[in-house]
Amino acid sequence: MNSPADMQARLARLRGALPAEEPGARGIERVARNPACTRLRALTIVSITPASAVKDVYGETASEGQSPFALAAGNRFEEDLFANGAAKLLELYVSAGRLEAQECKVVVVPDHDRSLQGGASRNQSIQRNIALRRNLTRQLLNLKLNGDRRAPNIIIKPRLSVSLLGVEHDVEPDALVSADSERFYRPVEVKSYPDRAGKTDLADIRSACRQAAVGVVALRLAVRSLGLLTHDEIVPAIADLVLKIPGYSAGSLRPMTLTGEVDSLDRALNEAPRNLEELEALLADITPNATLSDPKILDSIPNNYLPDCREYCALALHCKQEAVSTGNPVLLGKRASEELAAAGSLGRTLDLLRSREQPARTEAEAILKAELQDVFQDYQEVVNGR
Amino acid sequence: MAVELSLMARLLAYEQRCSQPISSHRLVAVRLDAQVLSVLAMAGEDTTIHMAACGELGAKPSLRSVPDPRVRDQQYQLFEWLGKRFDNYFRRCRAAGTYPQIWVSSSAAASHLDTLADRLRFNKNNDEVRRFGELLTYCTERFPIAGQQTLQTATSALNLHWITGQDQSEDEHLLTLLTWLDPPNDQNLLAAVANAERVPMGVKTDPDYDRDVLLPLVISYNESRRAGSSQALLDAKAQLIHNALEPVVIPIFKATQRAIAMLADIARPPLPGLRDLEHREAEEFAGFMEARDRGYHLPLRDSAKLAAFRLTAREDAIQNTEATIRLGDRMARAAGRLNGFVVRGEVLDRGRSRLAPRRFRYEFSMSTVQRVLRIRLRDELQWADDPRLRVIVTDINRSGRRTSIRCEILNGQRSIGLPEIGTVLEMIPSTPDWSRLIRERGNLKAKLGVTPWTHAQGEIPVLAARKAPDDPLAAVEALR
Repeated sequence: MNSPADMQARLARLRGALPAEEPGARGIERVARNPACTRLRALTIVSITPASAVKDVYGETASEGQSPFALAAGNRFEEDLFANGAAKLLELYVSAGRLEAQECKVVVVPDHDRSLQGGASRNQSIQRNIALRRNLTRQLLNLKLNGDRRAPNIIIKPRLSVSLLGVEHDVEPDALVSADSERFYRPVEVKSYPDRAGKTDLADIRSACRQAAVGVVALRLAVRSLGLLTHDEIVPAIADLVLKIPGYSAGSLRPMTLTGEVDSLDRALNEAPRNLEELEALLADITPNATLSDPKILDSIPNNYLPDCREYCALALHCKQEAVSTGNPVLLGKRASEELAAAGSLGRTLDLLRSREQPARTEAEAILKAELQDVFQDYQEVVNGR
Repeated sequence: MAVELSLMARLLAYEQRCSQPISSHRLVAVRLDAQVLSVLAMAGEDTTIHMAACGELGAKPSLRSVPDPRVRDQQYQLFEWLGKRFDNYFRRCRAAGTYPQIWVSSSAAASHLDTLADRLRFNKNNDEVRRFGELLTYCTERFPIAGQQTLQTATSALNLHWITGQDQSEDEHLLTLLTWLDPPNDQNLLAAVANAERVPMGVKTDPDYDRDVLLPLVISYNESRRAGSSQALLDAKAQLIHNALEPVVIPIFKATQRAIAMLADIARPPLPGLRDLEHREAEEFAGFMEARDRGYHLPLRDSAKLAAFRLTAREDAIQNTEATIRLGDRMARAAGRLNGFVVRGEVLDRGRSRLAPRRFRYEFSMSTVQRVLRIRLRDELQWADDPRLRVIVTDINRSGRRTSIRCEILNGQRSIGLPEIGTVLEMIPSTPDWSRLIRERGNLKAKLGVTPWTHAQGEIPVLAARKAPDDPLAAVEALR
């Protein structure tokens, strides 16, 4: 068993010259979106964000960032909801019939931080406050599990942890909520995305649900650490999304079932490389003392570029360039990638189509070749006006 | 067959580093009086317009901006300005008995207009803004309807006609799409596409541009405003913001104009059924404007009854548009053959049998070698060359690669008659039915005269038990 200090030292060695960054819920759900991408998993395991890899490892411009206007709007929305003891959030739950008017016990976890004290450095103070938040969250969850009436109905910014690929990472759901009559909490994800009911942007919903699912997984782990094994029943795969009503500062409440998202996260967290050892072995195979801050090393770790990577990963453009250089069929879309799988590359597909080079190497290639040539003939007929 | 026509065109586009045609006809109407609209919103503020560029086809845009769209009065002035333009244009179209056509760059722009329409049409403080919201609602409510011609996105319209050598989701960026359509002579195409991708083509400015350029200007303007600075100073600062936004919105406007020009000049004949689609559009527009004149309310959410009517209209539009394109466009028909919905075969035999005095059955068999066939017994098919010939499939036999299909003529016995042996027929599943919607609406009106128990208050009604068939399996088989 490695001590936390040993673990940190091993991670630091793999990071090389780069500093550690907490991936947060966003980073964890990113891994679940593309679990086959070993490069993304490797970076996440050692706590390097894709944006830092683009900027600091490859020296390219990272296109991951939010407009300051959008950031300000998002922060304003969240602050407004949580201001005055989360009055607006409580009102939202009461008006939705999820909480009774008298169920108004709210704990804002960051309010319990201690200010910088003499002798302690800023970093020490931050670490101490993080530990305080973890302990407080644990105490509050324990109160609820024990059926204590003092357990709050809303916990703002609790501190939980998720074990990602063998390494513990802290996550901070926006809030947890529970009526007095309910057994346990469910996560709340606050987003300033406009709630347009059926017309809400699917990518926004997808991203919010996945981040909320990280909260569900973290809550389950917390329940397990508190000694309860039936965590699936106590923490079902359900979370609340609080989105912004367009044009107003008010929020809307949308309970969401996240079975698929939670399952995909569980799968991603349990797939290879399962732990640090596997990553170390992978890097050692490339070269001894390899670190992920070396662009050549990072390039030699296989990626799994998909067209929708650009939705969530700053490395997407870099990985796309690799796909271009190898003629990866995924450049034409996921469907093309499946249908042209027998050929393996766009270059080979075109060779089959034009009957260049040697004949088909496999039966699958022969079938693909026949299909390509049939469809090509049809296409040419139409284009030539026949 | 796994490989489809669109994938083949995409593969060829990748090989030749140039887009490939994916239609044999022009599938959208390009109205000469159409308006091109490009708007920029402030990031995070989804019901704002920071700058609008509006103009007719081939004309320079009229520009209007506000220093900070979060300031309501300034924002309303911009909406009023746009509203007046829309109102005048809609009036002209109504007087001419046609319909309005608005072009935007991409679906992101259409979606932004939709958000604005939902918000502005309920405005209680400003009648002109509310009117703008209502007119915008016509465009945005037409947008999801298949075959509509009112709110056109340049990317979708181009994608109906050409296919690129990149993933479909990347085609939503107008400038990359135009780069594939008109590749640079002196540059690597993929590098040019990568450069094009960096140019904003939606409704938002680049986050870095916001941080480095726009934010300081907006902060400076707001500080002066709060400090009660002179109007001249505020105007000067507002002009700086206008100048910062102009180089972002103009390329979007120009790219949209370029896309429309490409479509207008396309060397393909218009789809034969395009006139019917435009006719439907003009009818819908007239109905909408009449409802406004009568003061009917535009709800934010449909009632269950209205939703049923609208769903039916959408389904009808999908069926008619698909049928119109399949009937008129050779590429769509070829795609239909590959996915098995269109059957091309050679007539093998034919015959007429007498059923009763002056009653005959006309039948023929056709043979096809299509790998994929999606036809079943009792399917009705029509001859693509003359849809008056309508048949029902009575038998299907597959032997090796060849499939024999037996058909009985339902319509066209006299006008067209039995096809000659050896004739190659192309049979399609349906043709457009422009009167179906009226019939469907009549049926729905009768059905929904009483609200069904699923949407009504009260208990679930108890239905009288029906007698089960003696042989349930036989009853199921009879349905086949």
